Amino acid sequence: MFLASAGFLTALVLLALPWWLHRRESASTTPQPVASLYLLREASEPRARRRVLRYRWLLLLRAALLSVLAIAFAQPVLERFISSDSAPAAVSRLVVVDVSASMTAVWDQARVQAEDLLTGRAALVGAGARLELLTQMTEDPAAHQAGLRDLAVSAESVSFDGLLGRLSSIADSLVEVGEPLEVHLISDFQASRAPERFNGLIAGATRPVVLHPLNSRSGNWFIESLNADNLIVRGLGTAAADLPVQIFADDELLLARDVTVAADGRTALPLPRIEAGRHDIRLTARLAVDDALSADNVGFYVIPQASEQRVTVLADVAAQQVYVDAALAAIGWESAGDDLSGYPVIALDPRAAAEALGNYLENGGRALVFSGNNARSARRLPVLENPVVASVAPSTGQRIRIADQNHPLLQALSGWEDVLVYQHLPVSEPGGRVLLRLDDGSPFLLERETGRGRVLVFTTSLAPDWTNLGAMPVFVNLVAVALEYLNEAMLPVEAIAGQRLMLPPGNTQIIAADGSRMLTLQQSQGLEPVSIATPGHFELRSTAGGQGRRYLAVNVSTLESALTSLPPAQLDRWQSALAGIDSASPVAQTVDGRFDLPLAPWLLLVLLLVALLEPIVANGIPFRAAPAGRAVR
Amino acid sequence: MRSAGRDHPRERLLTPEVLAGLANLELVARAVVDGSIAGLHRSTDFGFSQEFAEYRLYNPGDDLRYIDWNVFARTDRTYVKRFYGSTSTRLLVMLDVSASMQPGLPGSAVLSKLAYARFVAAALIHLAHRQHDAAGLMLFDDSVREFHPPSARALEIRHLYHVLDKAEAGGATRWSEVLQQAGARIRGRSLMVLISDCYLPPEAFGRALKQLGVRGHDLLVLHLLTPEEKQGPAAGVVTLEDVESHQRLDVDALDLETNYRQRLADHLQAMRRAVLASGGHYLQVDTDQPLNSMLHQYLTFRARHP
Repeated sequence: MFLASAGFLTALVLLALPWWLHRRESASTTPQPVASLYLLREASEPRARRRVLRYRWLLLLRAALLSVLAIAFAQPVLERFISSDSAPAAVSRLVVVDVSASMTAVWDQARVQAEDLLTGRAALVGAGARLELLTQMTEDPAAHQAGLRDLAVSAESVSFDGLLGRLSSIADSLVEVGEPLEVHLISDFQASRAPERFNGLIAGATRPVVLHPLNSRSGNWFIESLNADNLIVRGLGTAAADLPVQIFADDELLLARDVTVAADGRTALPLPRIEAGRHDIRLTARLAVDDALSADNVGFYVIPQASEQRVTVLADVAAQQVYVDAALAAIGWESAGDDLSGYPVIALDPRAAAEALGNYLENGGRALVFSGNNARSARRLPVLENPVVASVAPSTGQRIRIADQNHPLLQALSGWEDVLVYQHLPVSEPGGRVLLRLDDGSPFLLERETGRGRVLVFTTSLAPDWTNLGAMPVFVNLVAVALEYLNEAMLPVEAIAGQRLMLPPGNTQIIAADGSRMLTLQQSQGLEPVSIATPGHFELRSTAGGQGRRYLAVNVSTLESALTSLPPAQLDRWQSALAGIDSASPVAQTVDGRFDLPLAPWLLLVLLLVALLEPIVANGIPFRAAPAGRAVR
Repeated sequence: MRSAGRDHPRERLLTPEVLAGLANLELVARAVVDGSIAGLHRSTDFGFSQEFAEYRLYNPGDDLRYIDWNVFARTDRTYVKRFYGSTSTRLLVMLDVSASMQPGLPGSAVLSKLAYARFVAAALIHLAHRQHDAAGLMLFDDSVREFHPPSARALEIRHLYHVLDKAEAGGATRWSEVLQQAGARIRGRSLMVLISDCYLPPEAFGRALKQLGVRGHDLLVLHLLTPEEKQGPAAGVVTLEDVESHQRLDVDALDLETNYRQRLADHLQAMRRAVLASGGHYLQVDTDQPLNSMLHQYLTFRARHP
C-alpha cells in the first residue's frame, strides 16, 4: 500500500535525476569546433544518437543515497498507512470548558457542546483561574456524566495568555507518548481576557486545538467600583436605563435608590458617610437588573476598622530615640513620646513594667524593641527573655543577611548591604522566629507572637557604637514596614475571585459566610498562596489580631463584565495557527517555553538537497552556457 | 618582378612553419620583408625616401622643400631631388582577432589564422617603416580592442610589434560598428589593410566597407583561408559548433563532400565582388603559402595602386 504513497513516488522521480545527468552521447558525436557555420548546411534528416551512461559507479552511489533518503522520508507515510489499515483513527479528546464568570450567559450552550464532545475516549477540564480536571481520560459515559455534573460556572476569570500551553501539559499527562489527542476549547472567548500579543494565544501549544466559540449577549450592566465614598454602575453595550440599587452595611440596608445609567455609560452614586468602628464594616451593593451576567451585579467592599492600634517602640537609651523619632517623622506616624496618657497602666517598677508589657502583648499589643545596655546588663533579651549566651564584644562590623526570604516584612526591604553591626547580644535561638542574621550566624531580628500580640526584637541598640543601622536609608523603610506589619495592615481587605493571596505569617483563618473554614494549615500559616473562587465577604480570624473582626471582600473581575468576544478574523487566525500542529508527533517543548522542532526531518531535508544539488553542480549543468541557436537534439 | 616559387632556398626560409619558430615578431617582419625585397629591381616609383635617385628640373607646383639650393648656387638653375621608394603613405592594419581566428582548432595547420595574420601585419608595418611611412594598427572583434593611429616613429612601430605579439583571439565580430569606428578615428587619407577570415554575408560586408570608401581611404582586404577551410571539415564529423556563436549544427557528410567547396568558391567570389564594388581591393591569402609570396602580391598591388 505504501508504494502508492506520495513520498515513494516522489523518490522514484528523484532517482531519474542522476540517471539523466549521467547519460551522454557517444564519443563520436562530440561537437567539433569550427571557425564558422556560415558555409555549412544542416543535415536534411535528423540523426539518431546513441547515448551511453558514464561514471556508472558514481551513478550507482548517487542513486543509492537518494533511495535511502526516499525510504527515510516515506517511513512516516508507511507507518501511517499501516496504522490506518490496522485500526481506525482513535483520537482522544480533551474537552475544556471555560468556567469564567462571563460564561454564565452562554452556560447552557457550553454544557450541550461539552456533552456532545464527550464521546469515546475523552477527559473533561474546567478552565477558571485554575485548570481543574473533572474526569480522567476514559471511555466510561458515567464518568463523563459525573464530570459534567461537577462542571459549574465560577466567578473566576481565565486568561487566554499561555492557556493552551497549560492545557498541553495536562494533555501530555493524560495520554501515552505519540497517542493522538485533540483539545477542544469551549468558550465565549472574551476579548478582555486575550493577551496583548497574538503569540500568547498559541504559546506552548503542542496539540491540535479546536476552538468552539459561543455567542453571548453583549449588553451588560455591572458594578464597576464600590468603596466607602461612592458606587459606580456601568453599562457596556446597553441602552440608557434607570436601575434600582440597594446598598447594605453589615447586612443592614443603608441605601436604596434608582440610578440612571446612560447608554453604554457609567454613573457614580455617592454614599452616606460611614464611620469605621472597632470592627471592619462590610458594604454590599446589589444591582436589581436582569442582564446577561448576574454575578457582577453584586459588589463587595470592606471599610477597614479605625486605626486604634498602637505599636510600642522600646529603646532603652536616648541615643536610640533620636533615630526612632526621625524614622517615625519620615513615615508620618505620630510618636507619643513622653506622653503616656494613652496607656492604661504605667508601672515604674522594672519587674512590674516587664509584667505589664507581657500583659500588653498578651492582650493584642504590638511592640518593636531595640536592645541595649540594659539588656546587656540583664543578660536577657527584652520581652523574649532569650538568655545572652556570650559576652558582647565589639567587632569591626558584621553585615546582615536575610534568614527568612518569604517573610512579608523583608520582601519589601533592600539595602542591607550597607548596614554594619559592631555589637550585638549573642542570644540563644529558641523563643522566636529569626528573620535576620549576622555574618557569624547569630540572630539579629526575631519575631514572636505572644498571646494575641506580636513583637519584633533587635539584638542590637541603635546607638552608633552598636550599629550604623539607624543612619542608613533602609532604617526608615524598616520602621515603616515593621509598624505596618505589626499593626496588621498587611491583612488583605480586597481580592478578585481566583486571585492568589499570601497571608502574613502566623495563624490566620478565612471563614466563609456559612461558617466553614476555607484554608489548609499551610495556607493559614502563610506558607502557601490562598485563592477564593466565590465573591462575597469572608472573615479573617488571626490569632495575633484580636482587636476586632477583619473581613476580606472578594469580587468578580470587571474583565468578565465586558462580554465582547474576539473578532471572528482573530479567532480564524488563532484556529489557523493551531491547525498545523500534528497530534501524532507532538512538538517537544523546553522548560523555558521555547519550541525545539525535531532535528531528524531537517537533517534528512538537508541531505536530500545535498544529494540533489551535488550531481547537478558536479556535472556543471547550471554553468553550461545555453546554446544561442538550435539546441542539439 | 620575379615570381615567387617555393623551391627557392631563401623562400623556403620564409614558409610559415619556419617563421613560427622565430620568437621575435620584428625579426619575422624583417626576415619576410628583407627576404622578399632582396633581389627585386628597385622600384621605378620615385618618392621622397632618404635614398637619393636623381635631380629633376623644378616645375611649378613642386614642393620648395626639395629644391637643392647648392646646385642652384653653383649653376643658377633650380633642381629638385628625387628619391627611391617613398610613397608617403599612411598605413593602418586592421586585424580581426575574433574567435574564428583562434589557434588550436582541431585539424588546423601549424599556424593558426591569427598567427599567420600577425606575421602579415608585422611585415606590412615593417615594410611601411622601411619606406619611412607612418603605420598604425587596429585590433577588433565585436568592438575595437586596440587602436594605434599611424606613426612613423621607431618607438611607436616597435610598440605595434608588441601589441601584435600579445593579441589573442576571442569574441564575435561586428563589422558594421567596427569599420564605422575605424573610419571615424583615422584622419587623412590612408591605406587600410583589413586582415580577416571574412565569415559573413558578402552583401553585409560590402555595406560595411562602403563606409570606409566614401571617406577616401584606400582599402585592401586580405581574406585568410586555412587549408582545412578550403577542404571543409573532416568527413566523419557530423556535429559542429561555431566558436563565436556557440551554435551547433548537424551536417551531412555527403553534403560536405559535394557542396561545401562550391559554396566556398561562391563565397570567395561574392566577397571579391563586394570588396571591389565598395571601392576596395581584395586578396585571398592562404595560410599555407609562404609569406614572401603574399608580400609579392601586396607589392604588386601597391605598384598598381601607388
